[in-house]
Amino acid sequence: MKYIKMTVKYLFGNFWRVFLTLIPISVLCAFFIKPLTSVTALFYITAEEFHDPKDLIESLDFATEWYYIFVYLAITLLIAAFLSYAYITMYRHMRTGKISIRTPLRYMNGGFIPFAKMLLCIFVYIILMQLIISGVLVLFNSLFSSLSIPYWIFRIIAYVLILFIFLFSNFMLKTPLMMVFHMYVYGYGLMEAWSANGKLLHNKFSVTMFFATLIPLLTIVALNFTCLLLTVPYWLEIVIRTVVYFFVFAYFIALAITVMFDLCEIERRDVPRYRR
Amino acid sequence: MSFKNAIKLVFTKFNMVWAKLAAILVSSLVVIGLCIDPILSMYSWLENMGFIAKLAQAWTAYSSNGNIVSLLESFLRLSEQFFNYYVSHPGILWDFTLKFGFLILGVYKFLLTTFELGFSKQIYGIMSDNSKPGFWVSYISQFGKSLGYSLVKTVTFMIYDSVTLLVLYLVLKAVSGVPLLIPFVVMLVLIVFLTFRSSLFFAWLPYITVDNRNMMVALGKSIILFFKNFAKVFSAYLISWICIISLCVFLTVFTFGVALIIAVPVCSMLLAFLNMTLFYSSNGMRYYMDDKIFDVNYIN
Repeated sequence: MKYIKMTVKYLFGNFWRVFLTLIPISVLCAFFIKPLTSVTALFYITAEEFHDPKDLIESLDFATEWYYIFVYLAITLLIAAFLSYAYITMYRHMRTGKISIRTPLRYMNGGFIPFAKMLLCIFVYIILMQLIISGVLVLFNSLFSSLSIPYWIFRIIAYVLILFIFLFSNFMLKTPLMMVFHMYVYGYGLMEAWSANGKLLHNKFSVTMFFATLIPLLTIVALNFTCLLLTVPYWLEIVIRTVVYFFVFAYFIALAITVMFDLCEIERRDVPRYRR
Repeated sequence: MSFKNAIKLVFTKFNMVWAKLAAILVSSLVVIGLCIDPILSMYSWLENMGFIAKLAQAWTAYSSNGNIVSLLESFLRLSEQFFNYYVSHPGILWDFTLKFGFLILGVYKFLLTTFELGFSKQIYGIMSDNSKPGFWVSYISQFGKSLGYSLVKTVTFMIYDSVTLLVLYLVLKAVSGVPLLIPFVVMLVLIVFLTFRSSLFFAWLPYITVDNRNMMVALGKSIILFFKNFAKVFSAYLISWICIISLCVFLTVFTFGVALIIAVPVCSMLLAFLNMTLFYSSNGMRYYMDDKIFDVNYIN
């Protein structure tokens, strides 16, 4: 709760500059990427019964054309550039007390490699999780339909699996957030940053971060389900997605920096009581 | 002595068994995710041949009347039918071998083996300085190394296992005239080959984690160390494999397969601890056994 308060306070204090750094990439993402599709697939699994594996995979939204993977890769690299722009803006603000967004190319260059490594790892993780969810569900579906076991058991397995993977991903999300700080500020490599990050964690902190990252994800899920149930027009959906992406990016970056400043006990120059 | 110490270490550090169980679960989920297409095609092939229905029939008969002999007989008959079909259809033979043997089992073995270096690092911490490093830290710090180790080990073990299957097939062909000898000979060949496999590579992981050796150097030194301490290492692994096989078969038959969920990780952790205790004792090094003082008066 402490970290959520600090993050929200920081975001509302410096809203416009953060808005300007992150709005281009949120608009781009809103057009191309649907957030958390595998969770919204629960809606289709509840609504109808699948007997053909292909229908099930289509409802899990993994059956788009194969060349989409390159589009997603390009978008991932663009996201890396813009996130590094926002990240270094906020980091320098907290470190020096001055905020400036006038040199975007310099800031993009500064943190591009750590962010690109991190986001490629997240990209591989997301694809792996989609493959696991669709693979296990398709296997159980065909097994149950060939052995004629009632369908509600399959539904229960689907709910448990998807919820478990959602919560597990949320539990793991604190690691990449904190690793960027190690990589950008202290200059570690990817694996070194990961194992150095493991030494900082303890139980109480993990619980705090679990809820701090869970709340925005739950908001996305709720918005997704309302879009699905009310069948809103396309332009409204794009607007909603833009707002959601903007807040998620801004929140997670601000959260990562405040948490690491708090854990490493670096003084924050942007807060008035530290100003001299 | 090493065997007894390994058993004691497994049961004092029992939460490593739960970690192993989690590793098995995670790698099977990943295998299902990655290889769903070959699994589905193989399943439909088995279903079309009628093997799935026969298996389900045998299991239903066993759980209704509890007759173990008839269950074993039907399993033997099924595997005989399967092998006859397998050998007589060369087209299916290559398809099946490629899909099942090399893709699914290979990927599964590869994923399971990537966890071994992390566990070995943990065991090293437990036995050398009575401290326990966290699993994630030891796993991640060894990740790049463990991928290479896993690749080499998977290929080596696959070659060894195919040789074992070939020898098993030849021996079965030789004694097929005497049905009295068949179960005895099958068990004997299996146990000897498994024991030899475990003891040949027993110091591979310990040399990598304890001595910080290169992977290939560790493999060579492991084989040399095995032939120096042949009697001790071979007898320890012989006893442990006999215990493992009899325990697993006994538990499977009497709990309808439920106890395998815990028996398989316990056995694999036992083998991992046995590697370390044998390595320490054959190099004349000392190790920690137990960290707690047991006193009845202080139990609440």
